[in-house]
Amino acid sequence: MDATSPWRSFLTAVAAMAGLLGFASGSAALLGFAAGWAVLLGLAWLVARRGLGGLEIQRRLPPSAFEGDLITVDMALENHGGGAASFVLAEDQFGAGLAGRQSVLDPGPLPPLHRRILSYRTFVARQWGLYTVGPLSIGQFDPLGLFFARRRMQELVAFEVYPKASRIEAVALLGGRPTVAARDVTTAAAGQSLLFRGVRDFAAGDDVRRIHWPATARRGSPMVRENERDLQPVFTLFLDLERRGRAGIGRKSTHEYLVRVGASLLWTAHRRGDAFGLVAESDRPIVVPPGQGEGHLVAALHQLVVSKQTGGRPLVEVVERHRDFAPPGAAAVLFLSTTDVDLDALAATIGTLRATAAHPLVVVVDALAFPPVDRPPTPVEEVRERRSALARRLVGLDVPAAILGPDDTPEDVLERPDFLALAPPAEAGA
Amino acid sequence: MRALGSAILYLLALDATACALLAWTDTGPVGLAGWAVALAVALGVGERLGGPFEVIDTKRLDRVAVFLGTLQLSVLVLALVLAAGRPTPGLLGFLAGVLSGYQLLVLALARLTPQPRGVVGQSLALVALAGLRGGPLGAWAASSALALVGLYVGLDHHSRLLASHRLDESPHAARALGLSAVLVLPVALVVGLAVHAAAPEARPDPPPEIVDDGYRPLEETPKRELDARALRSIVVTGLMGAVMIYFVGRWIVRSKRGEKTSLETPEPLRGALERIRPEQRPTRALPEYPGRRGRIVRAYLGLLRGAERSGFPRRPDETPAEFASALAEPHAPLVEATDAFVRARYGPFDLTEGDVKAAERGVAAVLDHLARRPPRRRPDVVRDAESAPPRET
Repeated sequence: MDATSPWRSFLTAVAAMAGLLGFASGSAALLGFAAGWAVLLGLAWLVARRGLGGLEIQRRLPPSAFEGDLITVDMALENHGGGAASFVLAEDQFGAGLAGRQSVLDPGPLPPLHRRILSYRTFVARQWGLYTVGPLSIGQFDPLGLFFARRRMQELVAFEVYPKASRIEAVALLGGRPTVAARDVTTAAAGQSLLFRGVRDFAAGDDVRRIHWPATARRGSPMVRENERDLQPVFTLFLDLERRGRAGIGRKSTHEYLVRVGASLLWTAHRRGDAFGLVAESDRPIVVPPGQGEGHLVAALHQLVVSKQTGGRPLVEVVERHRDFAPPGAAAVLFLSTTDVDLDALAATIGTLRATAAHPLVVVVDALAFPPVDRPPTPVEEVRERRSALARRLVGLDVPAAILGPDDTPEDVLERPDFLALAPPAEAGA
Repeated sequence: MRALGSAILYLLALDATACALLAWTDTGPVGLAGWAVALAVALGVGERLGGPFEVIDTKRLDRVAVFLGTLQLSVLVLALVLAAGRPTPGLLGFLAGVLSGYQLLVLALARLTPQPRGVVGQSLALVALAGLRGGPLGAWAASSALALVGLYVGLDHHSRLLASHRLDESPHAARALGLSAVLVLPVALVVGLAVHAAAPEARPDPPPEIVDDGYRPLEETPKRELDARALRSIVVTGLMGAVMIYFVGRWIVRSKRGEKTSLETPEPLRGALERIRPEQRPTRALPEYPGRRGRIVRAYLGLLRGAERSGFPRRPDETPAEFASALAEPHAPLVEATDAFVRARYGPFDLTEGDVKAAERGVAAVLDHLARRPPRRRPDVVRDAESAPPRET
C-alpha cells in the first residue's frame, strides 16, 4: 500500500479553499473548519510518530538457500511500550526475491510486553550469488491514514543463493567404497576409523592423546595406538579457475557452467554420504578439506559462488599441489574450464591419481566454443580439433569424462545417466 | 467496513445537503425527508454501479474520473466564487438547490473512482454554503462535516490497508472506527463550540430593496446583480480553468506512474501472541494469601518473628516441623500452630474458621511462652546470600 494518503492533499486543498472563502466572507464556520483540519493534520502527524515508540522487531531467516527455494522469513514484533499497538506494518526487502519490498501487517492489538511472530514466504527468484536482506523497518499510519511514520530497525544482512543442484546420476552410479563400520552420514569421523590396528613407537608429531599407556608402561618408551585406515568415501572436486577459461556472458558463460555443475557435483556427493572437498586457485587458493554435513556443504558452496576466474595456474598444477586431498579410494573430479590444455600433463595427472588408487573423473567446459570476452575468436576448425583431441585422449585413458559446450544446458545434461560416458569423436570423413 | 463507510458517506451527504438547504431555503421537514430518500436511492444506485465500473479498463476509468472531477471542481469553484462575492439569499438558495441536485448525480457515480472524492467535495461545498449563513447551523455544519469526513477517511484508510494485506476487514472494523473517532471527534467538538462562541448569531438577511419608480436618467439606471458581461467572463474563466486543471491533473497522474516500486504483500502468517518475559529482578516478597489461609500464614509468620526476637530465628533450610522440633516448647500450641500453617500453606482442602482460631490461639500461646521464658539463643544462623550483610575482608 502506498504510504501517501489519497485524501491528505485533497482535503488540505479543500480546507485551504474553505479558509480563504471564510476569510473573504468573514464566515467563522469556514475558518473554523479550516483550522480544525489543520489541527487534525498536526495531531495525525504526531500520533503516527508516537505510535512507534516502544516497538521493536527482529528478523530470523536462514543465511542461504538454493535457487527457487521457498523461504519463510520470521519477524518478531515486540511491544515494550505502555500501550497496545495496532495496525503496525513490518517492511522488509528480500534482495533475492522479485518484489522490491515485502510488507506484512499486524492488525493487532499487540498488548504491552507482548510479542507476535509475523512471517512471510517468498521464493528465491534470483540467480545464484550474494544478495542482501533488509533493511527491516516498522511503520505505522495515523488512524486517518494521512501520515506514515517508519523506523529502520536492522541494517542489511547477507544472503547467499546457491545454484539449483541436480543429482548427477552418473556420479552416483560410480559408487564409493563403503566404510567398514556403520556411520552417521552427517557426522564427520575426522579420518579416524574405529578399528584398532596395533601399537607402534611414538614419532615426532603424533598426538599425545593417542599414546597407549599400558604398552608404554610395558616397553618403557612411548607407544601410540594405530587405527585402521579410514575407508570412508572421499569426493574431491578440483576446479579450474584459470583466467584462460573465461568466455561467454551471463547464463552462457564458462563461469556459470563451472559454478552450476560444481554445485551439483558437491550436492551429489553430499547426498551420497561422501566426505567431499573443494580445491581451486583463483587469485587466492580455495581449499575446503574433505568433510561431511550440511554445514560443510554450505562452506563449499559459499566458496563456489564467491569464486572468480582470475587464477594463473593450470588445473594439473593445482592437482599436483593438493594431491593429498585425494586419498586412496577417493573420487577426484578434474573440472576443466577449457579444452585448451596440455594433454600430456593431463594424462600424467590422471595416471598419478590412479597410481594412488584414486578414481579420476574429468568434466570439461569447452571455453573455446563460447563467445570470447577477452581474446580474439578461435577458428571453428581449431575449436573442433582441440575438442576432438581431448576427447580422443580421455577415451584412450578410459576415464569417465564429459565435455560441455554452449549448446548443453547443465540442468538437462547432468541428469542423464550417460553423462560421464564420453563417446569417441567421429573421425573426419567417416 | 464498506457498509459502515457507505453509511457515513450517506450521513455526510445528507448532513451537508440539509444544512445548506436549511440555511438558505425554506425547505421544511417533509422536503428534507424527500431529500434523504433521494440521496439514499442515489447512493444505492452508486453502490450497485460499483460492480460494473470495476470491469472497465482502469486507464479509461481514470480518464473519465478526471474529466468528471474537473467538471465538478469547475462548478464548485464557480459557485463558491459567486457565493463569496456579494450574494443575495436568493442566489445562495439557488446555489444550494443546484448543488444538492448535483449531489444526487455525484452519489450515483460515487464508485467510479476508488475514493469517492466527488461526494466528499460536493458535501464540503454545501457545508461551505451553510457556513456562510453562520450561527448555530454554521457551527453544526463545520463541526459535523469535520467529524464525518474524518471518520470516513479513517475507515477508508483501514479498509484499503487491510485489503491490500489480504486480511479480513470485519474483525477490525470496530477498532478502526474507534481509533478514528478518538482522534477526530474531540477536534470536531472543539471546532463546533469555538465557531458557535465566535459567531452565535446567523447572518441577517439584507433589508428588502425599495424599488424607486421615480424618473432617472438612463445612465443612472441601477445595474443588476450580475450583468451579462461579468457572467460571461466568469464562465469563460471557469472553462479555461477547467481545461487547465484537466491537463495539469493528467500530467500529475502520468508523472507519478513510473515512481512506484514493486511492493509484495505476501500471504499473512501470524503467530500466537507471546508474553515477553519482563526483565525484573526476582522478587523475594512473600506471596499473597487471601482469606483464611492468609490469616493462618500471617499468624505463623508472627510466630517466627516473635521467635527471632527472642533469639531463636528459623534457619533458611528448616521446615516448619523441624523448626517446631528445634524450638520444642511449648509443645502442644506449637504443634497446633505448625500443623495449621502446613495445611494452610500446602494443603488442598479448604480451612474452617475453627482452624484459623486454633492457629491464632496456638501462636498467641507460643508467643506468650517465649515472652515469659525465652529459649536458648541460636548461635550461627546462615542467611540467604541476598539478605546477608557483606562480609568484611
